[in-house]
Amino acid sequence: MSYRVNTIPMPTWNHLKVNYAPEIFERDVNKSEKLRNYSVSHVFDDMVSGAGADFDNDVKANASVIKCKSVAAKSGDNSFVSEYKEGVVRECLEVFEGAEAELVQIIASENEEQLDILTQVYAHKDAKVRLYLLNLSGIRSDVRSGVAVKAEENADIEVVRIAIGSHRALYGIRSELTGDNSRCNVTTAYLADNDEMLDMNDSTNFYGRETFSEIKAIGLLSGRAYKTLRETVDFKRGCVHAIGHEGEDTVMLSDEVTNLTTPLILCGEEWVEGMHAATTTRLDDDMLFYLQSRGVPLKDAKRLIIESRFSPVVDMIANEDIKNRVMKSMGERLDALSVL
Amino acid sequence: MFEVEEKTRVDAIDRTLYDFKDKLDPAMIVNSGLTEKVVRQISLEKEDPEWMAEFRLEALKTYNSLEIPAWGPPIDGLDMDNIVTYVRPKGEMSAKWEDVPEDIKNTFEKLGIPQSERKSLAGVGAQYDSEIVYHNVRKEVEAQGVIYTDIESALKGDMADVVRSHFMKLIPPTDHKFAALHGAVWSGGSFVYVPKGVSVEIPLQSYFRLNAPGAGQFEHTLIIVEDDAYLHFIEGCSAPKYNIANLHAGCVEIYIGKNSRVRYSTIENWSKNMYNLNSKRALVEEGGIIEWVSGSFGSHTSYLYPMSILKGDNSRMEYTGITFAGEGQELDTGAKVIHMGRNTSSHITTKSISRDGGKSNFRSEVKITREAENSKSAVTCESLMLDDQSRSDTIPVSDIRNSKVDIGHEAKIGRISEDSIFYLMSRGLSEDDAKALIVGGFAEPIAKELPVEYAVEMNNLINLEMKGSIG
Repeated sequence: MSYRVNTIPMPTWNHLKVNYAPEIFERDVNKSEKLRNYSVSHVFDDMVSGAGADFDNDVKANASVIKCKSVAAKSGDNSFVSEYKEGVVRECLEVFEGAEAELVQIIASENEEQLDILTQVYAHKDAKVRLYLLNLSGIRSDVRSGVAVKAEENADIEVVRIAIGSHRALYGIRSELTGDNSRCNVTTAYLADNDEMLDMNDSTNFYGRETFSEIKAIGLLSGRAYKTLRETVDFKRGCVHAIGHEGEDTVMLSDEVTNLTTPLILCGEEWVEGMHAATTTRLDDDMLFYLQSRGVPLKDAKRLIIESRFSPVVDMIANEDIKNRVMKSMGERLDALSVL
Repeated sequence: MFEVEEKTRVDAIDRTLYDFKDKLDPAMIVNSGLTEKVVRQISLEKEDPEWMAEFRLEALKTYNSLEIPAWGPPIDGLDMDNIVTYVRPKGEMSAKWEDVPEDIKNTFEKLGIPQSERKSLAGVGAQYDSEIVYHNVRKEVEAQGVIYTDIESALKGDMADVVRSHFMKLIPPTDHKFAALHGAVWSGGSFVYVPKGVSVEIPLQSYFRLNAPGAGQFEHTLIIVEDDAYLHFIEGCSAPKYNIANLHAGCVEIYIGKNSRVRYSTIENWSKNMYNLNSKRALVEEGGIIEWVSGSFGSHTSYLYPMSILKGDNSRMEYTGITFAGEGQELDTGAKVIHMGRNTSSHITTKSISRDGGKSNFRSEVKITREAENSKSAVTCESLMLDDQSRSDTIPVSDIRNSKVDIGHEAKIGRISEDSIFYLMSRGLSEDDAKALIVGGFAEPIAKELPVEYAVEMNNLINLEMKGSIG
């Protein structure tokens, strides 16, 4: 089957090539062994990821790995680490009222492996969830990741995404803030180099009152990388006093990069605050000069500045072992950057 | 819990000034619909040169081959089979008001066009339905070598070769379906030529009035400004309201020479049965500047995105726009800019107000090409929602292909800030005065960019009546 992924909710001029991911993906249905006759909680039924319903249905129909976890209040077993390399995977996490949970999802594909993964997180009333999406794959792999998040009243969801791996990486996160006072933040650090294609589609739909979401990304582009970031905050009628912020801060190290950004603010409710801010620059010449004047060689100065941009995102990872693994992967990627 | 507060009432635009209708009494009118026969009839009626007659037929083929845009507001209510594409008014074009037919003259006098000409304009063109009925330029401006005439005269006169080499070269019929439509049935519009080194100190203005129900207006404005020159061009438009759809698919092409500056101001106040599918584009050479000032108030549906191509090094673009969408309106406006030269800069600033179920969309494109080193671009859009029946959406895109750039974008949607009201009240203003100040101030940065007569008109159009608290 073939279909489009990462479609934005309100299209714009076709020649810009941002309405959906530039490639139409096709699956070799015989490649993976499907799981049959499995069931997951009905709360996940109507959740759609940022990659889109076609992608979700494809994964649901062809998944070879299904992981479903649920966490109740006062449950001792509330921290999970998953690691995937290839195949078709569906992972679900249901966090019940008042419970807290953490899911670390590591993607570590190698060579020309391909991974399609659908992640669904449902946070019941007063639940707290931390979701870490870490793509540390090799630079020849292909990864498509669709994430669907839903938050009931007072639920609080934090999504941290480290997108530094894969030749073609496609990510789509959709958050549904259905409960009053619910929150979901999505923070991304991305890096793309060589001929890598990085395509992201992150959106938050606000339904509940006094809901909050911040979608922000810090990125570095080099070589002939082709990056598209779509961010959407969609205020539905009735989401009184909702606040949605979007942001992106990108540094481009090469004139052969293609850097596409599409930050949408869709608003059907007057009592809201929607904001977007984005900047695209090169490495700060003044800062480089200052560091060099302090005796830091140019190459090290560049590296220092880049690492300092990413560190606030990496520092959000609570697990020290995993954080160190991320830093190691990031260091290897930075070592390989031709401009440093 | 949330308190129920009485809301500020912002009045709808008072359209009585524009809604008067003249009896339909044309000298010639084509059948409705878009066919080869109709296009040939228009060519014949206008005594087109051969190349233009062929151009129209080719554009018609392009029109038939292109799809309706899938990304914009719905235009289902627009049926080209019901649109009359050419209506020739009685009388010939004249440079004297007294020669203009009485009813048409009365129309433009009610709109204040001759009064403005006497007071503050260097030249005026007035189009009624499909043809220019009046065109005049001050002698002292003419003496500088400035040409300001209807485009049909330019097409057949001394500037024929210049028109031919520039006509629909910036916006070719293949650009989109309604550019193709324009290419097939265009009629009327102005031609402006400003020689090298000439600064036209006071503005030129063209005013377009569409009176015929179910008709389309397809005027073409072609402006060529040579090096080291300056021009301010004002475009106004209006129509009475009918119960059937009218269509405006005009086209504006502006060529700006080295170190020249052009300011193009528009107050668009079509009636609410109008589909305004207009195209505007400027090509800016080295050191040149294009400034767009745009107010969109009328129309049932608008697609309007002036585009600037910053071809020359150090060229610059500024776009300042305001959109007011009320009941039954969906106004999709914005701007496009392509940075091709080095050290180019662009600044897009927009404001929109949505009320009574109106929909206001901001759409933009900022493209930085690989050659456009040291370019800068800033996009700022602010939207004010005045009720929860309305919508306001922003869809900006940036496409950046050079690392030595400085690009920023800010967007903000919301209602009137309660903190601001509180602050002003703490400084001694009454609640009503504080709210009036904030709402008035929202539109002010745009108003100050308009010629004073248009700023007054805009303030009249947005008749903000404050009552009770805002919320």
